[in-house]
Amino acid sequence: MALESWNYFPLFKEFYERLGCKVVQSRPTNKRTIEVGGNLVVDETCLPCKVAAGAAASLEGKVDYILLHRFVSLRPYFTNCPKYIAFPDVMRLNLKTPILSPWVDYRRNKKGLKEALLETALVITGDEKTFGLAYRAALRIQQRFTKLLHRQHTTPEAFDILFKGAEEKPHRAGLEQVKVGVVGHPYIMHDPYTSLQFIKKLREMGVYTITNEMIPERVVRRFERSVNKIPFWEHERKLMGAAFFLIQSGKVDGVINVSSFSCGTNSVTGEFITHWASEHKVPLLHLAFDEHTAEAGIMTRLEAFVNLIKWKKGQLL
Amino acid sequence: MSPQGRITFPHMGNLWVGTKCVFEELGYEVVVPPPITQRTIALGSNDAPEEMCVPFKYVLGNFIEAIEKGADTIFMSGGIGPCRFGLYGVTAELILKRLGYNPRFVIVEPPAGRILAFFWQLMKISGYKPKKIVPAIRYAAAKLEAADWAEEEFVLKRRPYQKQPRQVDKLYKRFLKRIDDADGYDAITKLKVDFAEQMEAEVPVDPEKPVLNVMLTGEIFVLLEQYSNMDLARRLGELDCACFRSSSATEWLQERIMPFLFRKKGEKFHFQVAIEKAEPWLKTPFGGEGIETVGYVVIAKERGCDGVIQVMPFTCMPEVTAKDVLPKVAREMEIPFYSFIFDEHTAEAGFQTRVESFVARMWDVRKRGRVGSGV
Repeated sequence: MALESWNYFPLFKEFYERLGCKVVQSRPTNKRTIEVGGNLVVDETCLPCKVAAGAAASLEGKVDYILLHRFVSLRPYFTNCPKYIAFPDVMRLNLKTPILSPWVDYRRNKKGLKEALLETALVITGDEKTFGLAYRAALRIQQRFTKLLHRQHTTPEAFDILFKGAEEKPHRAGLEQVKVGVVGHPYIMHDPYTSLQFIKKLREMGVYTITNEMIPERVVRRFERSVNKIPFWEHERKLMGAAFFLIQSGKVDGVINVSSFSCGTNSVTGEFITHWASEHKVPLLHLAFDEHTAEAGIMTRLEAFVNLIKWKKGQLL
Repeated sequence: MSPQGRITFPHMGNLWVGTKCVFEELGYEVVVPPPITQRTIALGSNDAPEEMCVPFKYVLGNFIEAIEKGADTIFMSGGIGPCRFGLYGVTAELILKRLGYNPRFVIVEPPAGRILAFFWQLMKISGYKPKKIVPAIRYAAAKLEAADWAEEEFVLKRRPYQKQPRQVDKLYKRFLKRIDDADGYDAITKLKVDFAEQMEAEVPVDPEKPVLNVMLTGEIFVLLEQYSNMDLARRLGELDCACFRSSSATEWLQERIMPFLFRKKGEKFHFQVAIEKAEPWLKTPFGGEGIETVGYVVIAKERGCDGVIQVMPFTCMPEVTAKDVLPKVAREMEIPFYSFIFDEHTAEAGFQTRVESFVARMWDVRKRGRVGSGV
């Protein structure tokens, strides 16, 4: 699980299983993943790339193809971070297992998700017969996944519900005294090893937590109209839209901006989020993760942040 | 909006010659930011986001210094990504407002599928005189081309051959000033001829001297801006290396910003050639000059260069990605390769040592005729 899988895993799994493949998931991140990944890519790359490289390397020898989707742009005008775009190429030079990379590039050659998946299906099955059925089924399950997110399940919870049959337990704003919005990339926020599961920790502290994936697309679109330049990165557009909504609407008492070491896009988005937060006087915490795991440090900062919010609301004397 | 106000723009190598010329032709009063110094970068990195790439810090410093000199309008090019450059304008606007400056921002977005909007922007800038704008850009491009021609043909290539140090640089500095003051195409041509003659006459050279050829490639701002790359080209020149650069301000203006004005039929742009050369390793451009950097390693080998140096700002996204691939490409091409990362700190002694050791390595490779195991 790395990079785009955190957004599209249900779709990929359903699609390739319908085509008759067996989908093997890379192991959850651990220390070894990052060590291996760190050796495959340069030191200056961001943490998610190292995690992804390690995850891909861990699959070597176990599978016939490694799937690394190349999401260049899903819609006209919008694109993705450079490291993200070139990642399949970088891995192709490093791994021996053949790599399948469906190439979603709407901006340059008008290929949407469907066309990209069709090309991959042709490589795997050799004909178009099963494609339509598989694609529609995959879209359906992806829609269900999105709905689960909008009902305020976190991404790992939604995966559990879809694939392990866990029960739906919507996390609604109830009696919690503190509400916190978390904005960041799913592949940083939800990675069980590098993120130190801080969302779970927040919830255990009795904090109502809402992440940027739980904000529906139509809310994000409203944000697009209110800034003079929309960032041209697809993920960052969603992220900034969610942050803008959370801060402006006053639905949360504080916002946590999650990034990783040397995340290029965060230097821009973080600046805007800081600006909005200071304009609306919303407490803001920047959390940046790297290879090091310092659980105590994170706990202290989260507790301090929650106490700050409580103190601001007059609940703490 | 009519041409009014004191307009300024960020520095990037010789680009100021061209930009200044365009706005003067359009009738603006132009404030050229002071040349980049320690103060510029100190001002910029004080207020820029910590992890932002270094060019932004220089740009922000330029803006602040220009505002102090009396500028009230800022011109900046936009972009459609995926490199952060496209968001420099809006981010700088945000930060300058926070600092209490209130300049008017003119950010021109490239015509990505919105040709009409692009021309409307140009109309606004030119004060609704569309007939003026294309000749102004062409004239500015001619000036810029002359400046870059002088630097690439004479300064970078002749520096290692000169008998007394810094002669070339002195002449070039004088030439830049004259180009800036020149009036009309004829004056530019005459200046170019004069400069070439002067170079022949006044700079004694030693053509027998053995000299290394080095390809400088990488991120364009650091490549072109002397202060930000700690005068890498001059240092190399003094260590007997003739330099080639993968791109110049002229190319940037003609190929990236205004391709529709300068496209010639049946001819490929430099960067398109480089992208084709990088095809075996990278399938798609990923912003900035990332893929060209890889392509220029191949081109360097084809031109018979002795080594490739990649320059990049710290945390530059495309160049970091290119660096993932570059050592492998260089090994395959059997060409020495080194990568310099620049940030706001300057550590001259350490830098000079690294440059010298790389030059020594290139000599070693040339003598032995092959690249060793390490790249």
